[in-house]
Amino acid sequence: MNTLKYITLSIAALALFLSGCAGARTVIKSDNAKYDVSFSSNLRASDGMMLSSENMDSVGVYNYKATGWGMVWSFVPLNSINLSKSINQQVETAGGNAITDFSIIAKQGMLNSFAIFSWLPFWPGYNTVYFSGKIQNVKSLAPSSQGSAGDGKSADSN
Amino acid sequence: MYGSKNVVLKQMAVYFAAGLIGGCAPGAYMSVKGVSNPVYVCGPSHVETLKNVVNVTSTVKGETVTANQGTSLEQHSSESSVSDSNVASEAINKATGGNDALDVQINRLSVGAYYMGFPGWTKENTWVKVKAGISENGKEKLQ
Repeated sequence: MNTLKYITLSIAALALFLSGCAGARTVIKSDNAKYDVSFSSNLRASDGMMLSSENMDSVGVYNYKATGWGMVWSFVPLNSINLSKSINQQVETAGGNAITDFSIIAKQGMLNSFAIFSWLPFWPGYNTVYFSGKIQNVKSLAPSSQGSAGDGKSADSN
Repeated sequence: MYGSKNVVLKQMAVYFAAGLIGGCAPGAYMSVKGVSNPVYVCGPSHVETLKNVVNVTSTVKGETVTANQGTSLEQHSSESSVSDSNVASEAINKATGGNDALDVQINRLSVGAYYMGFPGWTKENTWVKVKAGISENGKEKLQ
């Protein structure tokens, strides 16, 4: 009887400990994006020359918000976030051919914070992720590795 | 009896209120500043086909916030943006050795947010993790 009690207590203590990881961890993908997306302000031209903001026309702003879900105290991711569609749509709409100054904010989901519920492994957790960047129009942009690897469309199709 | 029930209900209310505030706590902000190399974001990886790939791992952590501080997203993001950005930028600059003929391709980018259980002494932990390879594409194109 005591053994059963200790096992139950141990499981409860372990669940309590692991609930510290309640939330989600999510992989970001852009496998089918047709356009270059750079965290820095620079891109590579087709002749290999470095292009800075002086060589580009900023034609819009990229913004996207997505949610990553997880269970079992974030150890089991339930989805990944694919940016390809939003990148392609927003860049085409703005008449650009690349994104620079990309940035990410990853923030807590409210479900993560409910004590007692978050002790349970099947209680879902999530994170909200905000993406942003500057949509650029670059005339001498290098052919995109994304385009050549995926759908055959080069980045300077505009 | 009723008194103890009320205490429990009050404690629960405090927990949930603190949890809601904590749920609004912001996380990590990541950007790359002060890097002249193109830093491409997790498209179809051409890193695997490159000759000289150097692995870069950089983890950007958000600040730890107690749930009852009620720090706003804007305040927290702007506070953390400078230091957090530098973490990634320094890692990239270190790996490239300041050679701007190298392109950086991020081949795995993951984000996470944890919540540490008990509101009241709760801590938030949010991070953005990057694994990047460095290509010699730019250098080859220049030759």
